[in-house]
Amino acid sequence: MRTALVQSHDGRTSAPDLTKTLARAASGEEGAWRDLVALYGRRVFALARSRVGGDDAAEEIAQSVFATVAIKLREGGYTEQGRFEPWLFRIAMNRIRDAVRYAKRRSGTVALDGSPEPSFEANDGPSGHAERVALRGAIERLSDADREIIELRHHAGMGFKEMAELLDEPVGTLLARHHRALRKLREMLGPVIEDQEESEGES
Amino acid sequence: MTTPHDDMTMNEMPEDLHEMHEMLDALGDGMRSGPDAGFESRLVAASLAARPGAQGPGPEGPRLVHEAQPRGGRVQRLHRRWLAPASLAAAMLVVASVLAVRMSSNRLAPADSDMRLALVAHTDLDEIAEAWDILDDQEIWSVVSSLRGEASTLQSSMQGDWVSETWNSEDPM
Repeated sequence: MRTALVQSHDGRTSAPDLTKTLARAASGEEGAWRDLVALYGRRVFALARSRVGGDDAAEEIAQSVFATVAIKLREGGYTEQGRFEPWLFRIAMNRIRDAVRYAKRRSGTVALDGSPEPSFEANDGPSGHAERVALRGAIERLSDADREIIELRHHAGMGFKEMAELLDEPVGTLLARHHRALRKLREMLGPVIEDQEESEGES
Repeated sequence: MTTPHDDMTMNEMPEDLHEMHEMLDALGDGMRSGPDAGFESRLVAASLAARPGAQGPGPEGPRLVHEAQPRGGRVQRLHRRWLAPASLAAAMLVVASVLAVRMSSNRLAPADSDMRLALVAHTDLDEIAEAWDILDDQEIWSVVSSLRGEASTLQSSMQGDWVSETWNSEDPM
């Protein structure tokens, strides 16, 4: 039996539904896993993809994360208290960190940030592509703390409340960090944005 | 993914940062739409296969990029690697004990003849040689090197600066 999870406007699932889904997932019900994967799979992938080079590596991390969740749920290693999402992304960040360090050890360099640009929508024009390449480059130049906020917020699609639980910091602090990171990106990308505005004005 | 209603970011955000926010959202949307259509099926298969006692997806099942390896596996691997040097140490202890007993008995009982002394010495040397055969230098150094690498990885994992210390625990929060 598969029941659709109720998503709020911001993409989050209401607690009672998630509790039931997690219980069903713990008992190995495939439908429940489909629901969980539909909710979180691509968000975990995107977070991983922003740090590691290549879609395969990111998918490998996503599978590892969900495998860990499956084991923990089955063994009773997680008790639902409305903190599933922070827990899931904590596991994801640990896996990503392991992968980054493993790659560093093997290659002696980071070698992950120079990865090819992920494929975007077909209607993504040349200027959009260039803009995104520049944006990714700018994100990589941020400090780790600022980059972390940006990636959790915009790639993983996390809310500030969940990020606060994950990072164990007050929401206000994270909001300030987010604004600061946005400001830095704006400064770094200033010329790119202005060029684009000019070209749009001409056309 | 994020919307103007989400939290209070957009409402409190200065006008000049709205555009940056939207660019980042678009980038995130692109990242999330990256995987192919079979992505979800593979993830579900990996999740179901990882459950204790579960069967793998089988040859007809979806391709799995990654075989499940829970985090505890590293610790178990480390323990297994400790067992080899521990058993070697135990073997050395046994051989040393045998030699010590023999040598002390030789000292207590005066040798009947040079022939007996030579025989005892020869036997002891054989046992020492056997012990050295067990203690293959390359094997030991391979184990030591591997352990050193694991310890270094664990240490760097614990002292990493990318994520806060609290992230090292994956226990339910």
